[in-house]
Amino acid sequence: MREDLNSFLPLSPATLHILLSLAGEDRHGYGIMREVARQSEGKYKMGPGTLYDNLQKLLDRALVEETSYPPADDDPRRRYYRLSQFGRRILSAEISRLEGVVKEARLHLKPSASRSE
Amino acid sequence: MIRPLYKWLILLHPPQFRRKFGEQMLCIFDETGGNAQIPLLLDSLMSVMRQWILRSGAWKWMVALAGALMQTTLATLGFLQCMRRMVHANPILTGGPAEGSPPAGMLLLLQAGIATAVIMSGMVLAVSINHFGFRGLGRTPLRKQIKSGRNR
Repeated sequence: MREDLNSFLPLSPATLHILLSLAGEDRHGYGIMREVARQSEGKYKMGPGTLYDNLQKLLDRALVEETSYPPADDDPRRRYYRLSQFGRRILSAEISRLEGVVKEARLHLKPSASRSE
Repeated sequence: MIRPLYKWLILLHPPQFRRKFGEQMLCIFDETGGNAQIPLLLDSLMSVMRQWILRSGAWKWMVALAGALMQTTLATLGFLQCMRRMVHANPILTGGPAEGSPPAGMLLLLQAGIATAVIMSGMVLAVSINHFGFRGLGRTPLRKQIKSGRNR
């Protein structure tokens, strides 16, 4: 199973941000875009074309699912998306991988930083 | 003014993508107000190209068509060249003595057969690239892989 998860890694920045935005709650497209902008403090912005291209891939790969019933009082054009269990496992695996990368980077960057001081 | 342009860009997307996400893209455009709508036009334009070139597999059709055309052209040119040489070399056609030379009709048939075989193989190659190139090398294995991953 570990090998299966690893075949999806590393995730692209867009995929990582979309999955992260759906980790907390189900969201519609515009909600995902706003959450991605919030999480990245405005540094990473994606348009609807990029968003739905990535969502299509995530839906095909079963990392994300469309929720069956959007709220009744909402715009009928909106569709809500949720992170699947499989997607959650992939996201966790990616976060673990990134933690390793950060740990390694800190280990190598510290001595050079102290040398320059 | 911008909204109809954006709507038109959505219409340019491949039908499958447009049916699934077109309304949602327009909904986002409506919710994004003012100057923030302008970058969405560029995003949509990029999306149209991405969907047609990378996602729809249209490039495989183009490669297959170009390959088929190239093969057909080469075969036709080769056939014409061979015919010209044959006419010059064959004593029956040039009016010389006929002893020891193969019948011109047989050679013509042979050349035509080879040319037809090359053209047919080009067409078979074109169809194969499109069929197996899109389905075999595209999404199916990944889907199978995901399904097997989920079933475990």
